[in-house]
Amino acid sequence: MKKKKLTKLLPAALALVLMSTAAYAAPSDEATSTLQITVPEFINITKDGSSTETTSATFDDNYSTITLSPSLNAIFNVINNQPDREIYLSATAPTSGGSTTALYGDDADNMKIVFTNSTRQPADTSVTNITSGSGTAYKENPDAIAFAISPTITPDTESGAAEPQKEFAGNKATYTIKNGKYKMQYTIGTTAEANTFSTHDTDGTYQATMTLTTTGP
Amino acid sequence: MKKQNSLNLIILMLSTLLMPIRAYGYSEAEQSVLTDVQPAVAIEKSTSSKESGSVNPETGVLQEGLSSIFNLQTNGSDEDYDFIVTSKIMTEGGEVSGYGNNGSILFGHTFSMPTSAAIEDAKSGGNNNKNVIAYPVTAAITNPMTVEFQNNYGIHGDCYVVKVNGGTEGTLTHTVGQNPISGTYNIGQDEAGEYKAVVTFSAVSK
Repeated sequence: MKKKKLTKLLPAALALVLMSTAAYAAPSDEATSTLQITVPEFINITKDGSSTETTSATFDDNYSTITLSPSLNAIFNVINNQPDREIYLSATAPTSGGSTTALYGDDADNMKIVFTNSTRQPADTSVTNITSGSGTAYKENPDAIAFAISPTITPDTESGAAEPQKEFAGNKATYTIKNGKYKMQYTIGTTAEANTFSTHDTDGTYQATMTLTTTGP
Repeated sequence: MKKQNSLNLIILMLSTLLMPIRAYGYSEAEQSVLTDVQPAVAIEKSTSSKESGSVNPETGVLQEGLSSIFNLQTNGSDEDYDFIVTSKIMTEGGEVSGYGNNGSILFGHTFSMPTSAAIEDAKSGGNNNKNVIAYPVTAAITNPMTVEFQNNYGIHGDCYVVKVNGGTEGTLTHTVGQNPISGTYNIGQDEAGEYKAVVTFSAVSK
């Protein structure tokens, strides 16, 4: 009886032995190679060729109103591959001390810019009178004229760009942009801001320089 | 009585003499020992592999191509194993095959992982594939072994299939080209950072 039981057990035992042998005798083997590519940070800010950087001025008979035609346009193209990158818009105007900050405003959608006479350059105070108090008196800001700015920021959504976050502080507009392509257009108003144009503003070429940069304040 | 004693003594002596003969008596048995040598395989990544590189961020061109080099040793045959090379890329939804339909290999951003849709777009050579970059890929192996790309190769999916063709040793070189596949690198879509693809050479017993 015992012999019969043993005979029955033997095939099962053999099968077990064979199965375990097979498992160890024919293993899978593999090796892995992890390939890694580094894409460095990149940003390219260029002035668009369609910018309008010069214009002509006309006046009323009282020399109390100035009208620009055509309107000035500063257009920048931004290509960026970093999410959450900050870029800054600032402006300067020539003064007898060299140059001074010319951008001011309430927020990034309501900015203004001061142009100064580049041949008869005013003192810095002529500009700060406007940028700090929005033109308190004509005589306090000679050879400096302020105009409103209408910003139009167009993210190329196909490129991954989206409407940027923006704020205005310290005479700079700060934009937080995603990776992608942007067209950033700043159209200058055609009439002067109140209390900034008068006979204190002598003839000549008035200039302001707008800069869009990654360099923070 | 004495005679009987003598007889007993003789029998005892004879028995004593014969006992050692019985103890060391000649006997013989034969046993055949059969060793079943099972197929085995060893795959190792070569230290000469070039696994990392940097791209020009304006163009996506790699400064130098990448290569994964594997050394294969086996006494098994193509009937014993599937020798396959796969590539994996991580997406928001998990790991997927990283080989494209156009002889390409895909790399995915390691932090801002691409979507499955971006992967599929890059595989078909599209241009809507945020955070995926595809590069041309080739594979070669030393004679007599051969390697060929196969779409949907059984359970392994898209992969390179190596045939050992009776060979026992071979070196497989998996090469990534320098220039991105058109439409798959876009500075506006592809964020700065690290992009990764994992290439695995496996021998899967059948």
